[in-house]
Amino acid sequence: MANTQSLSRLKTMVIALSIGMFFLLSWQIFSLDLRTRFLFGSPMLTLQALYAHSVTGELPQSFLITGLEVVLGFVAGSLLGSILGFALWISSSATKIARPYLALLDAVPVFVFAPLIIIWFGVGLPMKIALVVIGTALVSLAYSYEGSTSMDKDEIQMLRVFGATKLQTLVKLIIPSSLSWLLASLRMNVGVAITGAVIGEYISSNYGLGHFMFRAGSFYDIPSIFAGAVYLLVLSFLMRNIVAWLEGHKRILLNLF
Amino acid sequence: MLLPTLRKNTNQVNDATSDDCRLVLDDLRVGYDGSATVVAGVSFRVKAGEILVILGKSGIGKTTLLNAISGLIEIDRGLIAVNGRLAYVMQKDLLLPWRTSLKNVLLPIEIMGGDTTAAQVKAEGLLSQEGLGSAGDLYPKELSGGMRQKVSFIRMQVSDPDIALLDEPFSALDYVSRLRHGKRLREWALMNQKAVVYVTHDVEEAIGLGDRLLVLGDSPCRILLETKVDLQESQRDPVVLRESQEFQRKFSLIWQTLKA
Repeated sequence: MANTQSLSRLKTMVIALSIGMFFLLSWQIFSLDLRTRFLFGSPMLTLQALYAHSVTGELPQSFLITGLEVVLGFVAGSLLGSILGFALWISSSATKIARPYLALLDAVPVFVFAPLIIIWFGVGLPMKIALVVIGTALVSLAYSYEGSTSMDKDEIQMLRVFGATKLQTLVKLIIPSSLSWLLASLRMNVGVAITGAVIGEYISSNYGLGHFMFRAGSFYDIPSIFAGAVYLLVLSFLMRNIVAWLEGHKRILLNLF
Repeated sequence: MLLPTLRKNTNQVNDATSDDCRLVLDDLRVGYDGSATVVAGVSFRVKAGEILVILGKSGIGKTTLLNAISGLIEIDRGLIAVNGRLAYVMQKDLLLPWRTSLKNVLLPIEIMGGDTTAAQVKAEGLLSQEGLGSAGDLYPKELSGGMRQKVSFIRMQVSDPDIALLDEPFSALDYVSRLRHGKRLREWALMNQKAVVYVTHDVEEAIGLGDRLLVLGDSPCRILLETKVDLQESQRDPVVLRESQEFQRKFSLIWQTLKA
């Protein structure tokens, strides 16, 4: 049974790898044409750009800066959003007041307000972090509020009979039972955080992966854009793995409650 | 001293100050979301060390009545006076899935800010008494339905209330375990002078367990029959009970009331 499963997994991997290799090979072949190479670059040129910009330290440095913006904004935004979401659960009247505003914010991607963020936070590092914080906080707020309101009413009633205060109910019941929602919001926020930081760097920056890619684009340096994207993929992969590790250790987190 | 916890259109209850009286319901009327009346004009009293068993068909409003007593739903009219601390064992065991059995049992103590070390010793003793000694570290999903109900019952005992409301708490247990738990509940109530309100569908269980029986019926729900069970403790043994005349009399009386 286990053998059949690992065989089928191996088969899936081989097929996926073959498709990837086929894609890269076709890309390389089509890039023999000059016009195609100008517009799409090529895998070999991307590798060369990746190597060249890595050894000069430009890409690793940009990676660290973008990584810093993403991680700081991700942690602060996720925390802030979750706290606000649970605060809404505590006060039902605040929820009623906040609901239409939340619906408004939900209707438009928050990054369209980037010019406002520049006015408020300037063009430096705080602006990128603020963009990430706002983007991730809204996701966490929605998830934590949804998690707290989708609770079994009987369990809340049971705690009421035990004499629990709202805060005790939050700590003993709502937060632990919303943990899956919180982890799902973190998973979602990895993408949101990277998008926020890169958009911030596109708009105005002298550093970071977004700036690197934007500058490469303005010089029609397609291979360097792809090289920057590879570093972004690595950042996303690392963060997703951290969230996956947290999800794998959910029981340890739950033991805190 | 009787502490009325819920009051609406308060009527004077004559002996409401009587110290051994733990729970008083007077002309209670409960609606559902402010619409149809579910419970109409129900009055009863429960003393310390007394078990009142409530019988009735499904959906008649027995759970609504317990929800009202425990303060979970608003009442429309009448009075509920509660003298002491109350615990409510609902139909569902409501064990929190991320807590071990032992931690679930200790939850009310943590909330009340009580001595968790002493409560843990008591909880471990009760768990082993129920044959769940090794289940303290297990999570609810690792327990059977019956085991979960036992843990829920132990949680109520550890919280040491003055009044216990139990809504079919042993429904997931096998017949023998159910009888055994009924016996334990009686011993617990008599020994510790606890007032118990116990809801069940099972007429035989009701007679074996209760000091007084209430049969609820009609729509909206009202008391159809109130009767005292006149049995010595020795007569409550399952075999002796079923051979006694009192059992047969009460069974027939309740049957006729429920059937009507």
